[in-house]
Amino acid sequence: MAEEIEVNIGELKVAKAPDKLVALGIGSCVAVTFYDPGLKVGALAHIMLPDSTKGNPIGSPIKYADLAVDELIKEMAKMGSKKKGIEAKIVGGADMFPHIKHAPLEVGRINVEAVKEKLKKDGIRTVGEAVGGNAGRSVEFSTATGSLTIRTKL
Amino acid sequence: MKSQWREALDKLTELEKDALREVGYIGAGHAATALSKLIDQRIDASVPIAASVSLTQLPETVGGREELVVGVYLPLTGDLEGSVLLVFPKRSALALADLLMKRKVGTATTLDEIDTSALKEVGNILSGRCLTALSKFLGMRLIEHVPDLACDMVGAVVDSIIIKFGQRAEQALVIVVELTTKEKVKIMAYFFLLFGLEEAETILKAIRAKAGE
Repeated sequence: MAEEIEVNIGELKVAKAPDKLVALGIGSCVAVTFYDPGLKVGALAHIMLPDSTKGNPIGSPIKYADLAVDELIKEMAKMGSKKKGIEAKIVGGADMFPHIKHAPLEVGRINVEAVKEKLKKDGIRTVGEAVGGNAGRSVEFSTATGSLTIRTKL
Repeated sequence: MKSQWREALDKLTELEKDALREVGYIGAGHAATALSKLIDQRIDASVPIAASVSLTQLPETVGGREELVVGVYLPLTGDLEGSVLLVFPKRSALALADLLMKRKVGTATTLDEIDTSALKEVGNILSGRCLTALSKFLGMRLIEHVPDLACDMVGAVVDSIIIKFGQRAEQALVIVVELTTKEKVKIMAYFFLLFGLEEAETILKAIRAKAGE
């Protein structure tokens, strides 16, 4: 029986087939999934901010795109997975309040860009994405198949 | 790293907590008066919750990340920089839209463009009244900017706002206002006030000063 493991903001969790990793109600945050199809293991990080080097970071390191990707690589390595076998997917980064004139939020777009850049730098292959737009998303990641199921409420 | 805001709030004395609740009451009272004028009937207001919550727990306050809500977001500048996010759970948003459009409560099952525009306006008015109370209480000038509205899962609605403060803060103030019409229609409104650490400290000072009076 497959278990569903919820991953909250600033968290990272790993799972083995047939378990599922889920992140609910993602707006401007980004869920990054790593999957090793050979080993059928995966990890999901629920990221909130693009860069830990700006300002004075507080709270969980997984909140930040750069640190979260480092951690994903480490956790996958612990499960026996090599970088070149990893397939990454990116979900989220919506703009929930696109009409705000005063100091537009735009964090969704910036988060997605930061994740993509970091993955490229670390030589991780990105095989899919569902990003941007103005709707929230829930994502379910099956470590049995590596597929993501995305729900919106609009 | 520890959250100073949380520590500071944990250290609030009962008197200080009362002072905070009082801001909530005053704001809620003003909001109820404004709403009762708009819909032309008496509204009672109560404040079941006035507290501080961790930013990542905000969606749980409303019932879980996938709960459908209407969120009105207002950027805030002036003496303090911050954000107000007013959240109506779906059922409350529908009832409020019915009241505003002079329909029987229970008519609306979805929100059309006119409904959302009315809710945005009402969100603006209610937050405005609450902020006036807060700004008087703090003796500070607070400027509201044009709001925007989102209908979606609360997790998604909340996260882009908390991201704005995620680098500088871990806690938000939440004031839950329960508005009841004479026909016992209940509308829950969640006011989330988000500030950075420095601003939060300023607010706490004002609360302490008030409690000392």
